[in-house]
Amino acid sequence: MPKAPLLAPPGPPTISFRWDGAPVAACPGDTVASALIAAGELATSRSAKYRRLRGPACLHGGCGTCLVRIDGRPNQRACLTPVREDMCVEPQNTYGGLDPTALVDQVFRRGIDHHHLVVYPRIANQMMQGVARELAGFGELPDAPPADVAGLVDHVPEVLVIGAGRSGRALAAALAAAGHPPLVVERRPAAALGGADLPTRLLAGVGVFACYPQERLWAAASEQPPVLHRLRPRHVVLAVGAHEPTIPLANNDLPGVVSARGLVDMLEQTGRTLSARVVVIGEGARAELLASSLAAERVPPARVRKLIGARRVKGVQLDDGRTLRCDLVALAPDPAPAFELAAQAGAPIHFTGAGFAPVVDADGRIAAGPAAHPLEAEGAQTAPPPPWTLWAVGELAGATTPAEIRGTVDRCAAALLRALAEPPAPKDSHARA
Amino acid sequence: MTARTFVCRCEDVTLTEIERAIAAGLSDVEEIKRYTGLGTGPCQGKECLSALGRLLVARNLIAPAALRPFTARPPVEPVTFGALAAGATDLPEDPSP
Repeated sequence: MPKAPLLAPPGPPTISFRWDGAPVAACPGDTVASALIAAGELATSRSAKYRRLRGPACLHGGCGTCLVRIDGRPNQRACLTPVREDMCVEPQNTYGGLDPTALVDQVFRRGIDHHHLVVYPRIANQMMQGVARELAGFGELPDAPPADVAGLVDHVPEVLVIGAGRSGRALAAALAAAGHPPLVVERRPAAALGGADLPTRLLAGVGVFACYPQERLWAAASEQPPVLHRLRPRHVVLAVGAHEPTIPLANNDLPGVVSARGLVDMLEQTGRTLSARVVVIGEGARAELLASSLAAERVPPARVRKLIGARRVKGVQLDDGRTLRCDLVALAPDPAPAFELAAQAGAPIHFTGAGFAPVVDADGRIAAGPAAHPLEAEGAQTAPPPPWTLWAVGELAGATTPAEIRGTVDRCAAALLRALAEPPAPKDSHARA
Repeated sequence: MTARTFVCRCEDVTLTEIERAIAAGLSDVEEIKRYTGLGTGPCQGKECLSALGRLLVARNLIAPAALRPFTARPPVEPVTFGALAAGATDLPEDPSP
């Protein structure tokens, strides 16, 4: 049965791909996730333990629940994959519409306590483990080994900027204007990056996945084409933004519960418009702004009793018993800075009240402090200092409004240009410090 | 469908399971991760870590200044074994001065 479309296309659809065997119409700017949501196909997998339906949620490549199988390759992020004619997209971890494993959610109404469930007798435990291992995990192995051996590219940029969002682009422009165009690495594919202000030296569709301070290396990779990038920069600016954490509400995992910010950005990137009814759940000025850009009613989390729906979200039940019917629920939490790379680089990390963030000075400079984790502090003290300076801009540096983001970019650019004017330390001092 | 409140959707860790961990005397992020599996799925904590931190602080189980995240290990982004294998060569000489 065709489902009611939730997002109107910007023009006539010209691309057709297959979802679970059936054709789906899409537009050139679409990702797999935007085309599926537009078509009302909200569920893409079942969850690891309770076997509940899940679908695209953060719409930003972060959450891991839009993983689908594309042309025989597992665990592709639907929200970061541009649509292609005739691509074959399949759900994962599900055995069809009447999946018998969905009963797990009904049978274990009070939850699965893996510390005590069938631990004794041992024979029952072994059988139970066998079944659980069969059901758990994410995706199945690829149909075939990859056709191409992954490539390798080494970079030694003067400045590496990680992230080509608003703050990354503004910083890159400021440095380029002063004669120091940085290398900018962005995990979203080029097709998903609109705007005329794209940096001149841009690696798009390439995710920085690690900082290895001991090896004095940053590492990034793309999957299509498969390439590993090894980066040894003199200066690193983290413009990685923030994650949208979940808001703990009953049934906050239903397909159709998405990030408000992810939805706003997705509409902007694809040119699609909402034909769905949306309710925004969140508090404060930012949530209000997101609700108004979605022309949606907003309710604070404290007023929500539960989200309702079975195979997808159908509404928000409030504490007074009223139900707001809707097709999508957009969560607008306080964003949590994406601190992970900074932590790997050895930055001191603190809790901001909304999430974790590196400690920065007024210019956004991150001190090369001891590693955040007490168990690793000893090693950090004996390790040589990293051969780069490290900076944060935008949301990672604590900014929330566009004016604050601009402020962090301006101060970081000025300080970084001063640092660039200094001669680099002799290489031997790195190697033997 | 059973009404459940999720803190970690990757590993299906519900608020009830966090409550059980707290009732067992656990009060910091690392302990609760180890007890429940929270944060150990594909998103590696991007969705749940700060939600857990806020919950522990709101209940006065830990002071904000004492709160630490679990260790952020590579990979932050998904990466294939094929791409990792491509790096099994020596780094070229650093051409910078």
